[in-house]
Amino acid sequence: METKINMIHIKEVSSSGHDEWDFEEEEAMDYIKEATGGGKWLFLDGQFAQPNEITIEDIAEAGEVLLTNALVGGVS
Amino acid sequence: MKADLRIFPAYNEIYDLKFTDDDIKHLSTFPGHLGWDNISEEEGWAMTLISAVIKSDKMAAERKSRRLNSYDSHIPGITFNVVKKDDIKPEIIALPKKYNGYSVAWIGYGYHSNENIIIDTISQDDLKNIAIVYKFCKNILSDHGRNFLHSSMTRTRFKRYDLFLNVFRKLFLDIPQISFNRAKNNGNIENELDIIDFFTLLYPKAKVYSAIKSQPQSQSQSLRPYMNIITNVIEHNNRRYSISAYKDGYGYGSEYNRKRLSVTDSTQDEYDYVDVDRMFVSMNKNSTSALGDMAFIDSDYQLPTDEVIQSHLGHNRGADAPTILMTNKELAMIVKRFQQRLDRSKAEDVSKRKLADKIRNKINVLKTPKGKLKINGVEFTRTKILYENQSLILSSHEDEEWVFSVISRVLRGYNLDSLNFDAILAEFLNKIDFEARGNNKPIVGQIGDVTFTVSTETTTNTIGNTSRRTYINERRINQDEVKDCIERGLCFQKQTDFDYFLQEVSKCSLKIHKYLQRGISMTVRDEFNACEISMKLPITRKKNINYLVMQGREFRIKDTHKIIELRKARNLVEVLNVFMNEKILNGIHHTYIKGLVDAAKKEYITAIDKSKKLLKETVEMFKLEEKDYNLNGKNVHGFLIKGKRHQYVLEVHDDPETKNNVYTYPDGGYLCIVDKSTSQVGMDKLVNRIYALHNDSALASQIYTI
Repeated sequence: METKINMIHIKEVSSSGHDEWDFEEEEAMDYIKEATGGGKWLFLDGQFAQPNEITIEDIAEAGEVLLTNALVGGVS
Repeated sequence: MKADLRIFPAYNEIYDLKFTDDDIKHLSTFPGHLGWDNISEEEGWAMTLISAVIKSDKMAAERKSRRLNSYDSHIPGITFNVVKKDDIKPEIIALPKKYNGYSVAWIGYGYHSNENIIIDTISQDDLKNIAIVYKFCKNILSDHGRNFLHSSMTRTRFKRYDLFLNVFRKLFLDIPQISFNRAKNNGNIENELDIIDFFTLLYPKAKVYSAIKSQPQSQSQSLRPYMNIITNVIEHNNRRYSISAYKDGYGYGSEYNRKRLSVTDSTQDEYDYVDVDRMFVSMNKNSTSALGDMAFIDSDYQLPTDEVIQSHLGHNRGADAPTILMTNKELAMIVKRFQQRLDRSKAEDVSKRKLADKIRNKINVLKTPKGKLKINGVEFTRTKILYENQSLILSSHEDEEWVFSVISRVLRGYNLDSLNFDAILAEFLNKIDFEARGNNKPIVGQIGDVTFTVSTETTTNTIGNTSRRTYINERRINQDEVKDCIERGLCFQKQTDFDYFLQEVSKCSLKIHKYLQRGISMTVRDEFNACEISMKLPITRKKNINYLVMQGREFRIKDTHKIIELRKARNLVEVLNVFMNEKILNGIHHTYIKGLVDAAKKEYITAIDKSKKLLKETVEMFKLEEKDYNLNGKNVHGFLIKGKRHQYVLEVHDDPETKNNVYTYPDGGYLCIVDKSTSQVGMDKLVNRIYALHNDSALASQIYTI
């Protein structure tokens, strides 16, 4: 029986404008956790999400997965 | 521009010239090889071709602007330019025969023009004379004059020098008058003997008159501003070429600071007055007349004051206005008129002073303990300034009347309208900055909701060097950023947030922080390929060390200032100089250069495009409209973003380097929001903000200013 692999498409703001990645589901989750730990923010379909409060299914169902750079008030 | 020989391997790499290491060693020639060793100091104007790289029809030439007989043949500062092999630059007077034979470039115009002539046979004496002609064309003639000669004689080939001079002599008679007053540097002349040499060479029978420099009039009166004196006249064929001297106000120690050459035909009114020792006024240094704006034509004239002259000539005289030939009678009249105007002006001053006294009396109330004043929405008391709940306080200040003194400084004119909060805040910050630099007493105050203490510490080390450190709230801050840091206090409502901000700035200055965020962008010229290239150098910071990140490699930055200054670079050579300097950037080998430059170009172009694409997708997803929004009377162009807590206007600019401010809508309150990461480019800042502001309630704990 053939198993269908769901690929997760992730866009990420970066120094090259933005990068786009395709990961398998578990890889995607690992990548998101690593990125958010390094100061990125995760948005699923435009809504902010905490990686430790979502499941792989949440990511798989999202139409858009975007990692932006985090912002802060007043430091420049 | 300045370069050094280390750039050759970089050029070899970047343009794929395929020189071996041994080839590169032999790319340099020295003056002796050109057979120019015996040329005297006077001919030192000739630039020496030191090194050249030939690539198809182009040549990267390094040359030294030094005198040929100097012993100092290894000056580190050399200039570097790219020229076509067949388009020799005017400054390069001779090339080794191997390449071009003797080519003489003489007009001295632009970089890529074809203004050279070729003389097949040149003796050493000929070279001296060519030098005289060359100097005249290059230093004295205006662009107009050189264009005239250029169009008549460019790329002409002569068998002998005397044939060249004959043609030049005929052409010179037709040269337009305007040619002798250079627009670029006002025809300044370092040595009038050069000009006399030129005319003597051109017209051996010309009459030459020169001033006797010991005459009192020549020595003293010419030193007044705007005043000119004719020191030499060369007369030939009903034309007078006159050299006049004037003071430009910057030079010392020479009898005349500046000189210029003019020409007058016998058909012109002023011709008869173009004499040695003639005094005249020239307010406009581009004037085409030999006698400037006004010449004194009677004997025993009394020079009026500068004020009288300026008043009479006004400020709107064009460069082509005819010279006023001033008699003593007319001179007396303009002095009288000036005096009458002066009297009227004094009366107006008195009335202005009365108005100033009236305003001062009004603000004097702030010298009293309970005095209050409200002007343009700003409330003032003796010890506090308040505007829209924003307080400015200096509690430690010894001057109890500091508010009064801040207002007094802002009120430079006689108009209370100038007293707005922006001007007051700027003066408040200036006062803190000035005092932080000037004394060691702490400055304690409040800005908005947060307090600050600016303190300094001065120490002297064992060898006697004194250093001064500045702190705000006990965090060390760059002295030049004290004002910016205090001003940023207006963004914070909590003291802990302001102190955290100061802590961050203490680790990495505001200036560095900005470039870490944006990278360093520049547009430079690639002379070899005759094109402009835009580049971006991303910088990252790890453990207080800055790195240039290119092609997956990190190069440690040893001189951050030099790297940041690359943003002002105009030529690729400047960038290569920095890349190849180990004192600035560590670890770059010349074999990386091509890849690095390509990466920087690609970095800029593709990154900007990709960031635009992401923004477009974001705008479509949130259905945003880019337009002008009225925020409490202020027009801001951008997107309206609907968050859960507030609505916001995000400012949008065409230039991605410009800051994208965020305001609350519709009241226009400014929100201080900054990107934490530097890993972004172009429009990414907008994308970060659009997503964050839509999710304001979820992110308010992190963006505490919203």
